[in-house]
Amino acid sequence: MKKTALIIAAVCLLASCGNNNNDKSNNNNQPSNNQETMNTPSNKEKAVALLKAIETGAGEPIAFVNAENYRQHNLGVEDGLDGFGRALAGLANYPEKARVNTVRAFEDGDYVVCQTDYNFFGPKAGFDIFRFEDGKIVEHWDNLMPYDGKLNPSGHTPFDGTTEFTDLDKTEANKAIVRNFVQDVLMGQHPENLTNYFDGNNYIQHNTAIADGLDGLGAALAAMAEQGIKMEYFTIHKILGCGNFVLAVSEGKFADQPTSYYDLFRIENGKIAEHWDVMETIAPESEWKHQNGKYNFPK
Amino acid sequence: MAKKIPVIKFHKDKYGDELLIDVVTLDMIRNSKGFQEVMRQSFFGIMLTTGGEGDVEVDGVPCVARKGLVACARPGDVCTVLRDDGLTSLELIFERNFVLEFFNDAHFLDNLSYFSPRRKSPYLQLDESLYNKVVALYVEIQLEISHARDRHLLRAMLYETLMLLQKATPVEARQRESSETRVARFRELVNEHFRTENSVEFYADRLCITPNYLNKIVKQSLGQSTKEFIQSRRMEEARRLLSYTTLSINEIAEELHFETTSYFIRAFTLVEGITPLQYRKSHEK
Repeated sequence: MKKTALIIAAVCLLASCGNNNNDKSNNNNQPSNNQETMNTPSNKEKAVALLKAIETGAGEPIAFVNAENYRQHNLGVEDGLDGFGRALAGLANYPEKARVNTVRAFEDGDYVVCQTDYNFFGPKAGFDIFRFEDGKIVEHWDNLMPYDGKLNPSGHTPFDGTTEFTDLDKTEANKAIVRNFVQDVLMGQHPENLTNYFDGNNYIQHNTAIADGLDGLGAALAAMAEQGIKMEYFTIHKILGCGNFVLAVSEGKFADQPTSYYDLFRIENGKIAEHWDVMETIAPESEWKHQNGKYNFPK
Repeated sequence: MAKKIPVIKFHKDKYGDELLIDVVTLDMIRNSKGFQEVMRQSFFGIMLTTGGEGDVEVDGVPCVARKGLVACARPGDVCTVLRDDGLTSLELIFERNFVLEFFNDAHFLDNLSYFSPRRKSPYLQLDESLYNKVVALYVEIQLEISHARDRHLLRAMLYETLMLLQKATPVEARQRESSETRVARFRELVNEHFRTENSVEFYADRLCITPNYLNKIVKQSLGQSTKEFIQSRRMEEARRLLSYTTLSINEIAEELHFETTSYFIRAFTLVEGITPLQYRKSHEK
């Protein structure tokens, strides 16, 4: 019963992309009436429950992972379910209590994306991506960054803002907008197209250092240029979306350090309206715990 | 004649190879090497206020800056922020040559309403739609600078910005400060700083005018030169210190920042006709 309670609690916070047959419980305030949900949690519910287990120590959600085949892409965690287990065991000796609050989660095909307010070996902001096969998790990617709890220049955290998933029929169009934006603007192929992507100066920014608006972005770009800091995007590895939310997984360099960028955008009426991100410096290959790479998404 | 107001120059090789266009913030200008509150810039600047509030002055013309106010400075204009309540800005700066390299019209910039030598005001007010367009152009320019740095594209973006600004509403310039107001401000400044500052340049800088002009208006209004006025304020203080304190002559010379005690004695004697010591004795009786 503990498992079920956990899943129900989690799913009430999170929106559905509506593309999963099992995922019908969201608008139901009395999920106990919904036998289907209780018996067969959706992939999203499983992913959220697995992450929450890091905090609660619940053992049941581990069953959502394919024990024979679990490919790990977090470069600091060993491959396989046993590798994940060993990482969790290390938490027991960590002086701070683990905290896992997933603030947004969505499904896109076999993938589940979770955005989480963590204390996982210290306070962090993170994105996790899980890939499912036959209802079991077979692959995991993530991007984590330390977060000290400070508000950004416009008073936002890396987590707050709307959690309402809408425009479920526009997922593919919105994914295309984000892919083009990353190519045109972040990769610098067509900066002159910038205005096409925004509704004037309306742009809510959750990056920890940047203020709202294109004017906030301008001030940040000026400050980086002055310090000789370059933010470079080279490759888009994956675009995942659900309605008005789209995540871009990209690789590049920040201040000459190999960097992994996870950028979550909220699209409103065809324009980028809000942005959350997590940047992680990619560890040198000598420190990798496996050879699965940080990306290598299946074709 | 040497310029008394320091000149801020364009940082041409900030991005490695020479580039005569950039976007900067107010904070960055303030943190730049050799920055002083009153400076001439040797380049064109279009400062777009993005937040906060302040009093700014370009070319001697004051204005209240709030979001959407644009201050346009030509090379040689003296620009200063007189009051800063959280003022934030983005400033597009460029050298005349960046434009002239491409346009045949040598007077192109001078013919823009806000850069013309005959302009009524160096200020423009942008409505929301124009503000958004100009901000976006600034960011596009920054992105182009940080990626391909294509000079032609950058020039096209600058050209678009300059043309868009032609559509903005000029801000009626407040009357230039009258010379009487300036002299009154000069007297306040002297009261505040005479103990440590006795150069005409210091006060002229603070008032954003040249030393010659300051001399002219002080002479007209007070009937003495700027130097004489500052000196008389110091002497007034010297007389007070001699009469009402037991500070030694050395200490008083030091307090009022005279270079040497003997210089203080000479200067005092010249004005008062008696030495400081004689003055003190005569006032003890």
